[in-house]
Amino acid sequence: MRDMPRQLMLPRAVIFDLDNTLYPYPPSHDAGMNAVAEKLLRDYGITPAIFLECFSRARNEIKSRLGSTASSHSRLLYFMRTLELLGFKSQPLLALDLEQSYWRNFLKAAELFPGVIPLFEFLKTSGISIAIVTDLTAQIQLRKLVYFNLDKFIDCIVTSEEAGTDKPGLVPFTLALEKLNLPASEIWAVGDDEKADMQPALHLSLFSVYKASDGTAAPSGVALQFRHFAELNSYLEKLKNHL
Amino acid sequence: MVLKEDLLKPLFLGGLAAKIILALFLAPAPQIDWFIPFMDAFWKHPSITPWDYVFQNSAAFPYGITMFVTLLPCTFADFLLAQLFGGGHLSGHGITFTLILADVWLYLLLCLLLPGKYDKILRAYWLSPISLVGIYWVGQLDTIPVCFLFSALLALQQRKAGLSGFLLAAACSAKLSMAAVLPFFLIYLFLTPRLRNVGKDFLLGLTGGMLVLLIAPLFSGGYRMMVLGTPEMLRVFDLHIQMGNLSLYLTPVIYGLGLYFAWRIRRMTFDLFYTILGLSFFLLVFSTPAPPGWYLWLVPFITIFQVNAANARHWRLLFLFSACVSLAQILFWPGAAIPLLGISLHSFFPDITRAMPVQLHSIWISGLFFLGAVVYLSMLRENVYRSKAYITWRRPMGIAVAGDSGTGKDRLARTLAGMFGQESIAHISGDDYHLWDRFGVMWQSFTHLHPGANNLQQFAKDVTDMFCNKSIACREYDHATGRFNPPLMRHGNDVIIVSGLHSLMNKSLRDKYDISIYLDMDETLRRWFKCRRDCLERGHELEKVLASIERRMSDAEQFIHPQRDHADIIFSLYPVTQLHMGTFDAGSLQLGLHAELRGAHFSSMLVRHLTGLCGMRVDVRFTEDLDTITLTIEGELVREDTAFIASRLFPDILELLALQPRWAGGMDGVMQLIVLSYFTDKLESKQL
Repeated sequence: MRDMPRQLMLPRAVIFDLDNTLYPYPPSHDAGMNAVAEKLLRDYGITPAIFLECFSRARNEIKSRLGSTASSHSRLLYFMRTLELLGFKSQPLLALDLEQSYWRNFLKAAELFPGVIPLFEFLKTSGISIAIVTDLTAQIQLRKLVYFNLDKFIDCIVTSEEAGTDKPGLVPFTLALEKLNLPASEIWAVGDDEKADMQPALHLSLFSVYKASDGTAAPSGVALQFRHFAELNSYLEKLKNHL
Repeated sequence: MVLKEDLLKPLFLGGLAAKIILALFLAPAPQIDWFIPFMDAFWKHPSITPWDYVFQNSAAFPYGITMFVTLLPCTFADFLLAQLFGGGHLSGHGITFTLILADVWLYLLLCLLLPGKYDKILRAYWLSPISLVGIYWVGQLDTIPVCFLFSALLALQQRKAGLSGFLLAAACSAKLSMAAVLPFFLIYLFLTPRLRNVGKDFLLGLTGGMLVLLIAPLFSGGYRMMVLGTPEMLRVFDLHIQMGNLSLYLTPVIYGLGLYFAWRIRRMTFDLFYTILGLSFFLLVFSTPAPPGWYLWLVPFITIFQVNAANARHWRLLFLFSACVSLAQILFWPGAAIPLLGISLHSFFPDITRAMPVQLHSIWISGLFFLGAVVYLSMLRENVYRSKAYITWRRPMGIAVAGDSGTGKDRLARTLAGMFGQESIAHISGDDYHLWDRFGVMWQSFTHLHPGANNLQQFAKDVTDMFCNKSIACREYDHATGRFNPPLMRHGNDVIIVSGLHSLMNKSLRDKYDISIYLDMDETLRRWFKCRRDCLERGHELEKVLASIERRMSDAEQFIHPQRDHADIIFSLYPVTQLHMGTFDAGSLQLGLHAELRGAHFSSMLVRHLTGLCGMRVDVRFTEDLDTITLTIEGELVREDTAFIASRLFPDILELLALQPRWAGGMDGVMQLIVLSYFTDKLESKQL
């Protein structure tokens, strides 16, 4: 825990990013991709190398076509295009099946970072609202929250599908501020991405809190950074006790 | 990762530093008198039969090959240092550092056996007074065979049965008295139906290990003298009642009773197994004037009991017991010298104790025995009588499946049997109790649904007998031929599944079931399934099947449907897609499931997993009296999801299921999960 500002007050709300902030994203993504690769190898004889190459091409095409929108992250679109690139033309049933396989295995490998639940419990018992501002489509992001058993803590959710644009666009954050109906100066924003989470927070005068991981340096201008949620929790507890 | 962090905690590092200091400064009596000279002689005259050296004291090294091999690396380093810097004799630090490594090894084994409880294990084991005194003050080597024993347990937990058998042989080789645990392993592996195949691999590993580690060294005369002739072997006869010229040896009787207790429990989970093992060690240690090393056997078991302790009172009780045992070790057994200061405390405390009146000794020993008995009874109550496995298998678990014809009773019975394991199941089908076969003329007047067309009295008697573990002779109705097969003997088992049209009709039978399930079904779907089964599988004509359904309707309403009111769980399948009678292609058929659960707690986690993980749609409703929960579930579930959700939500009861449960996908899988959830709930309430 570094850069502790002096004379800080408890926030009235905290906005959290979801992917890779509350749980580690890469192992889950790898588990999802491995499951799809295994399925394609087992059922259609497509090697993982060929699948990954086509998937990468498909994702780049879709991202460049759709820009910073929620659907630019759609695994369903990626898999549909991947199958086309693999020479299967349109295969709606298989594309849906691959998407389901991806997300199921993604979630099976997903574990919240230690300390997230105690932190959320502390925030709720302290009367602090919790918001989630995240990219991607609402359906899967809501499924994640239900699966992690976090939905009971959440006061407000904004996905880029609802906002019409991905972060670092400001709309997802301004939408969250509207829903929270609180002044920006009393809200903290917690995220792991300098560009997507910290820059909009600084722009909107939110109190920016950076979730650092091993080997990442704190971005400039960030008010507070932490590595483990227990650190953030004890910091907030200290703030509360000093009030 | 978390374990790595625990190894860097101040408590672990501080404890390790304290142990290293104790090892450097203390020289315990048995090590100076016996073990160090033995290893010293070996390194000066290496041989494959080190026991053959002639010693004045035949008790110099009453241990086998694995103990000897474990001591080699550190004593070799000690020997080299002695050759370079010392006077040519071992300092003894090679042995004490081996014991520190064994101490760490045992700590890590406990962490692996009880994952996620590292902090508690650290507090309970790492600074255990028995361990500190027994290893560093009294200088006993028993931590090493205990390490092999717990390595064998860990291998067994990880289903590496052959390795486990070999490691147990290694434990017995390290210290022959460890053989006392072998019958418990065999009882666990061969009386628990799900583990019998595992038991065969275990025996192979054990036999191989014994041939190499226990039989081969018997050719050494020194080994036979030191290991088999150790006075410790005769301690089991110390506790006895004199009856004229005869003696009643109590230790073998108590040990035998411990074995009988384990045999009576029969089906054990892994937790229950090592609990029974620990309790048996308690009996063995307390029923003999045990040497101090034997108390080290208790340390990991006391740690496990402390970690699993229901409350702080049990924790304190165990700590008090450990402290008293270690005090007894200090007071009654030769201690250590401090060579650096030239002080010998070998007989300092025992001399003080000897100077006291003998009655005081007796009072102290009696007090310790009393405390041990309290700990034993407390552990028996908390860890055995309240164990899920013990509660579950005290009597067979009964699951009844009732419902109208064609609602999938046999299918559900098979699905549940796949989950619990065929080796643990006894199945009684109501179809076997029809009075007449398919060609009986009486079917012109009766339907199968009418109680008068079934031998329900025999059905009730057979079910009752099965619950009393009696065998029954029962004929089997063959749906393919429509005839009865000759009667066969059937035996009771852990789980008795009773399926049939009238399974829930009789109140006395209903009281025997742990879970009563009634299968309902959307009427259109039921007709579709029944026509499909009877036409495709049993070769009947569609018109006749439909006519038979119509003819049965009034009997169904009168005799079958009322059983619904007596069920704990009511499953009702319904079609999500449109059905066409006459086309029996199930490829595009999508099913939804209504499940009514009576008297159960609501498992929101199950709903969360079905919704979040699988993307299913789940609607939850409560009745006004809050006693019934209705779930309406639609969507796709694959068997891997069922397996994952079961392992995630019901980890404690997986050991009560098959070794490799046959999980189902679709609504069959949902039914498995709901039954499992209800079963868990029932088990929790039984524990209370």
